Amino acid sequence: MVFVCVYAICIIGMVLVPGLPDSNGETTYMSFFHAYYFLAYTATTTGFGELPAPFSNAQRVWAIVCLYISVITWLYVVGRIITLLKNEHLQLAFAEESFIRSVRRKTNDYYLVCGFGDTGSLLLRGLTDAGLSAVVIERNDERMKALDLRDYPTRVLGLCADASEPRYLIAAGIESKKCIGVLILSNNEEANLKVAVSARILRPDLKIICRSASLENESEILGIGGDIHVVDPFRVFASYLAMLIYNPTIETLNEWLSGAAGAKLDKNICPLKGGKWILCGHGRMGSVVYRKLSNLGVDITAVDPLIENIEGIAEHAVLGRANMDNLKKAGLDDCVGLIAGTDSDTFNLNMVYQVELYSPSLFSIVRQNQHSNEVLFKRTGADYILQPSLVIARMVLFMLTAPLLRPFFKHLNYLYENSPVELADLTNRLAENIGDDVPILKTYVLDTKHAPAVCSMLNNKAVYLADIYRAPSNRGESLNVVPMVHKRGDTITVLPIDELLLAPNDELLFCIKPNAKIMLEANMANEHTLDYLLTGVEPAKSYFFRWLQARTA
Amino acid sequence: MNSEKVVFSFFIVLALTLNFGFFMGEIDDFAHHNIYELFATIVVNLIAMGLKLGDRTQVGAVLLSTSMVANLQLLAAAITWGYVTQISEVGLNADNASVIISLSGGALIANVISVVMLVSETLMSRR
Repeated sequence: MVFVCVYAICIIGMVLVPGLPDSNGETTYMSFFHAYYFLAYTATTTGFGELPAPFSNAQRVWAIVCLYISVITWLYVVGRIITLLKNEHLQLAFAEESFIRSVRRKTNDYYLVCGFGDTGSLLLRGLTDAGLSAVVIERNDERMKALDLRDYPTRVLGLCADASEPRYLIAAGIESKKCIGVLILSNNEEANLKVAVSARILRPDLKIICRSASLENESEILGIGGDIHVVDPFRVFASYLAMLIYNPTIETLNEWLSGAAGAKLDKNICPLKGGKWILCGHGRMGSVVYRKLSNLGVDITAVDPLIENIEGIAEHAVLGRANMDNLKKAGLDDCVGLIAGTDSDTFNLNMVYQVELYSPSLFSIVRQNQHSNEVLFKRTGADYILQPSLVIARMVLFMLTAPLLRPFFKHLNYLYENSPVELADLTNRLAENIGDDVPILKTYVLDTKHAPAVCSMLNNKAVYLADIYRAPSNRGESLNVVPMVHKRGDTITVLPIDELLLAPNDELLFCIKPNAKIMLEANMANEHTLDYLLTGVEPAKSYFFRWLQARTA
Repeated sequence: MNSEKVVFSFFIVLALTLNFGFFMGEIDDFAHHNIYELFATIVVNLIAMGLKLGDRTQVGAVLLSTSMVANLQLLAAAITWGYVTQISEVGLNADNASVIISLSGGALIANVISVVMLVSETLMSRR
């Protein structure tokens, strides 16, 4: 408004003020076009000079007036525009718009991740490393900035918004066919439940994985139906811990399969079995751990400062903060290990540090709640650091990238109880084939898209499992891979035998040494290679040689 | 040893060597380039392309396409030669000689790619 008025006054004035006389002595006037042109470069402080002809003094006076008021108006308007652009809401609207556009343009399948906390960021790292794509919705502005700074192998789109509002779920493309799953990982129970329900209503067929720590919420979430899984951080954490203490071999294998730093197959993480343990913290997580371990017959004593926390187990518990006195009361001198499992990192750190000083031989397991405290935990000298967020991220990642791993571990547990020799054989086999490298776990579906050579070969020949992982350099040898699970329809076979006859659409989970992956994939994709692996004879490749072969044969 | 591999590689490598032989020399001086060599290059390239037909793998497809490119360029060179010597009045001069030679230079690149792929595929299989 102001802008238009000021411009209009200046232009009118410029046109009306008489200019210098022309060659005939008649006074000239500026045209509207030239007046506007003059103002355009004056108001923006460009100042080309007196165009198109030198000004008369009267024009110069008016030009001075114009200059002051127009420049001030101009600056004012520019200031307003900049304020408008810097407006938070407008910026959010822009960000959302560009997010929606980028999501719509995505060409590959992706997971929608709600909540980018510790778990979310660890999971995204795993997902992108595995070549999967993801879109993130996170409420916290600071976390969103953290997302922008990460260098994931693939670009991860993020929107700063509350995922429990359905319109943001739609903005993140939940309705698109390319969205193949929703992972709900925030700490807020109510929000998680709401997101799960909205996701199910928007897409009845979608895979949903939801974090929930409360039993009531869990049953409600499961009640939604469809392809839905609940991850309870406390229970997952407790079973990890129980596995670590009760059957260390399997836990070591698990660590190794997840590629944890320093995990070796020939060395159990927790070297002892049996003996007394002390558990510090019998809160929500602690009680699950306690129940699980005492069910497995581990002698365990809890230490907790709150009387209501240890009500049911008073004979196996010491009341009070976990300082040295109380720990000694709980039997620190004759126990083999300590679990520092409170929800406060400060307590846990302090406890482990003191106990380490008191008796360094004790096996200490410490719970790390905040990812940012990592440095401190590494320095305390704790024997094993368990991060709930990491544990959950790993579990969700396995659910997504290698769903067949679950029956595999079930089978391992069975082996552990019934025939430990077989378990040792398996560990040896893995160690021999993959060794110290970080293994790659990958599920292959024998369909025309992923294993075209196998599929076309199956039309007229029998292909055995052993054939597809023979070494292309010498079919008598095998590639450094171990087939772990085979799935046909609903039948799942753990550790399938080499003589297994393959059929189209079988699913196979392989544990692969990194440098063998490309070879294994070539075996399944290249007909000539597979033909050689099956017969030992290099097949004729082109029409001419096939014709020649047919003639000579 | 596999007789198929011998024959196949022989023609692909020969296509490259003949092509290179023809390409060698000053680009605008046809005295350095032998027309019989161009003829032999074209024939061997066509044979190599024939041998590549029918391979259904990715590598086979790329090998075939490099041969097709080489043939296209060499035939273009031959047609140019035919036109300037037989049809037009101009005759072979520096201008059109350089056109013919540069076309065969393009074919040379395609043949180099072909040989590189052949060698790398052989090395990959490690047999």
